[in-house]
Amino acid sequence: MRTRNKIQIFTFILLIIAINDLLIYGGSVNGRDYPADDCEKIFVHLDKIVYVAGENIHYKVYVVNGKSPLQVPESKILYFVLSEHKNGKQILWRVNLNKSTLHGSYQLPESMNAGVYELAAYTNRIKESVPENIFSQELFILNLARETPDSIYMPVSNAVTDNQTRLVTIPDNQPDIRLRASKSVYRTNDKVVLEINMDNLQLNDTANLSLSVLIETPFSGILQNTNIVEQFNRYKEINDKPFFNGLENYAYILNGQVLNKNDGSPVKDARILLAVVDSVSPKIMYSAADSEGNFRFYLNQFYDNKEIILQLADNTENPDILWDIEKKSIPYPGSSDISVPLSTEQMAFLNQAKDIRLIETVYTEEIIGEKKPETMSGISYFACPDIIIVPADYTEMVNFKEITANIIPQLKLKNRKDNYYLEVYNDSKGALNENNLVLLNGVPFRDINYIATLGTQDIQRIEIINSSRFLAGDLKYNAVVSIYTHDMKIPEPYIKNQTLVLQNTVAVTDEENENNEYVAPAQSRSRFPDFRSNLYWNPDLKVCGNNKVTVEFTTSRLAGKSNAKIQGITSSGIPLDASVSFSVK
Amino acid sequence: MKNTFICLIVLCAIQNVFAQTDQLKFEPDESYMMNMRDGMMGIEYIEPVVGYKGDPYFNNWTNGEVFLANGERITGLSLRYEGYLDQLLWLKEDFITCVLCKACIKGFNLFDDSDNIAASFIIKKGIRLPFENDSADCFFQTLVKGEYSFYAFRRVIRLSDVFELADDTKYYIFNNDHQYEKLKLRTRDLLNVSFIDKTRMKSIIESNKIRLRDNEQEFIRAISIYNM
Repeated sequence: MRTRNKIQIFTFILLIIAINDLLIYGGSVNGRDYPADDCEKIFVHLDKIVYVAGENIHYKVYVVNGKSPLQVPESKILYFVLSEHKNGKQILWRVNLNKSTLHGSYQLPESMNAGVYELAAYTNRIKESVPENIFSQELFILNLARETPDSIYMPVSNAVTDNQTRLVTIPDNQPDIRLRASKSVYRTNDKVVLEINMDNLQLNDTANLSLSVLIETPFSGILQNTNIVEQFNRYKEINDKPFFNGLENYAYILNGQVLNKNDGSPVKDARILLAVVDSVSPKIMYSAADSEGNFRFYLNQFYDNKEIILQLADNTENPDILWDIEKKSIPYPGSSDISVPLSTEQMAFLNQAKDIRLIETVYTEEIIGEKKPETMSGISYFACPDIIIVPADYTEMVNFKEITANIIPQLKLKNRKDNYYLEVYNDSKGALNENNLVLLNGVPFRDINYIATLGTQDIQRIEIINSSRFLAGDLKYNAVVSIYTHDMKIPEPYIKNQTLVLQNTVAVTDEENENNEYVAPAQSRSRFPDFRSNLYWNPDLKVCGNNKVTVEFTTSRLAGKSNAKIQGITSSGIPLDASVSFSVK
Repeated sequence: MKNTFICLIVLCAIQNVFAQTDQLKFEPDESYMMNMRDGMMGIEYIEPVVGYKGDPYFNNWTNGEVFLANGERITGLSLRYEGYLDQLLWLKEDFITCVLCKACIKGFNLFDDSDNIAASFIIKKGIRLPFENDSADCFFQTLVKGEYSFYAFRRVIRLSDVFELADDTKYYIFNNDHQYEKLKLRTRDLLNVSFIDKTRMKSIIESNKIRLRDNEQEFIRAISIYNM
């Protein structure tokens, strides 16, 4: 009887656990109550670790959800920060993340200093968790125009010693990967065959892999190369940590604070308009700041690689303001950097890397990518104007006053104390009114004195919405007058004095590019001198079930020990790592 | 005891189902949605016909969601379809009625009190309307969705002689090749649709005892069965 009671209690506990789990999963389906500690794991596989300024960093990114690796990552924006050791100077760029893996390249600026850099990669979610979850990798960057340094600045080793780090135990039947070279020694310009085998991969499972083959550098002890298994095991869960900067699970968040220039106090309830120069129709967004002056815009992919113009809506007070925009970078802990002298062997290697880059710069042909089609911005009413006027259809008029007087009876350009203002006739009200939204090439523009100077030779077209009041958030305008000029420019003084301009740069990834392999010059263009130190890079290898894949490439004219390194994940999110070495003589 | 175990197994099974559906696309969070709603733009709605009996609205103000042409979705809006102008109206928080730009919208859903979809509208582009020379982009209510889709254009017209607004709903049937035909709610019109198999449709109508004349629900039933 007592035993039976125990079984009943045990069963009841199991039942409670099952119900609890069910509620958690139920919450995650509608997406609103997603467990707060489900952070993302990230790993970046690079094509090499020594670069020359102006060269492309080729990368493959693996991002999986910490607790639900089957799921696509929640974050849709991925950031890279390249921080220079010694002075902490940072370069930040970002890419759009649509699935668990992506590959692409980033061209290093020509002006970079030579030295050791730390490349960090993270999502907004990872950034707000713990530093261990951020991916980081040391790189060496050289500059063709500058002397090779004889010492480098490095951080004091910060190996993970935290006992709380969660180590994943790998069960016996977990998928594993093997990499095998056809020979252990190759000649220069010889054909290399590498064989990739999978073990214990389910029939319907696919391994998504990247492969790099590099001639070994004398920096392997200094620039430690992490692998995906180590990085994923370093992952730490976060428990109930408040999440301040928003989840970028739908769009890029442009956030910041509006402050008074005089005393640095926040501008309460500021009304902000965001715009881009556009020849088709205005693409304006509206946001109201809170009582602390904080504002936020969610920018979809339409705004990628465009110049963003921020300004206060015209009837907001406080013209003297400061914009404090959240930079999305991570702080650089540079205080622990120490100077390390370079050996003769290391110096020789770096000089050789510079020479190879010089040869490649001379011989490489530039490939111009195709432009991606644009997406639409969102919801506005600018696509449906009531009146469209093309001044070129009429006789020439030298200024806007003549244009309004002769061909647009709905507009009246008037002068008050040497300042022009515009009145628009509103059809529904049956009256002229001054409170209008004037746009120049898609950007809200309040300098009517400048508009007054525009004639038919300057203006391409004028669009008017005056059938009813125009509503944008809590802003109400009597009408909208949108003027497009032939030069599509906004006057510099207006941009400087009234707005904040931000370059919304997003690096392109290789999603549309099917051929991602490095083409070995020796194979394709035999007249090219082949001194590649990176013998092979393929960021998009796939192995289904327990199939075998082989890759072929040629060695270059450089001799030395080479390392082939394969990284990847299965479709169930299990990290895979293998490597093999061979010699080139 | 036995029942408890059965219950446990069933719960585990349901849990696994949820674990699978966990791979669904993430929903945007509420702060994103609030920001989208706050930033929406449009023009103030002014009643186009005053002094006429009746109203041009398809529904009372109800909770709804809008699907934008760029793939985004905005939820939690108070919406109303206006049949005279063929426009979607949005009641802002300050109680000003706003007309949303048709060119930016792909469709919208209206919900009932229990948050179930009460009506679903989509934009159909380039529709040729009776007595009009140009084609137009119109909001069509989806009545049946499938290989053969059935839509209602909930138009309201003005009867000037009696000072009344009247319902002038038009019905359209589309196939998957984007061919469409306008039809009235009668058997002959349905059987004469060029891309409908007359014999099969006739047998569906007869075997299911469907009375089509002026009966929207029966039309929905007939086309739904035809789609099976």
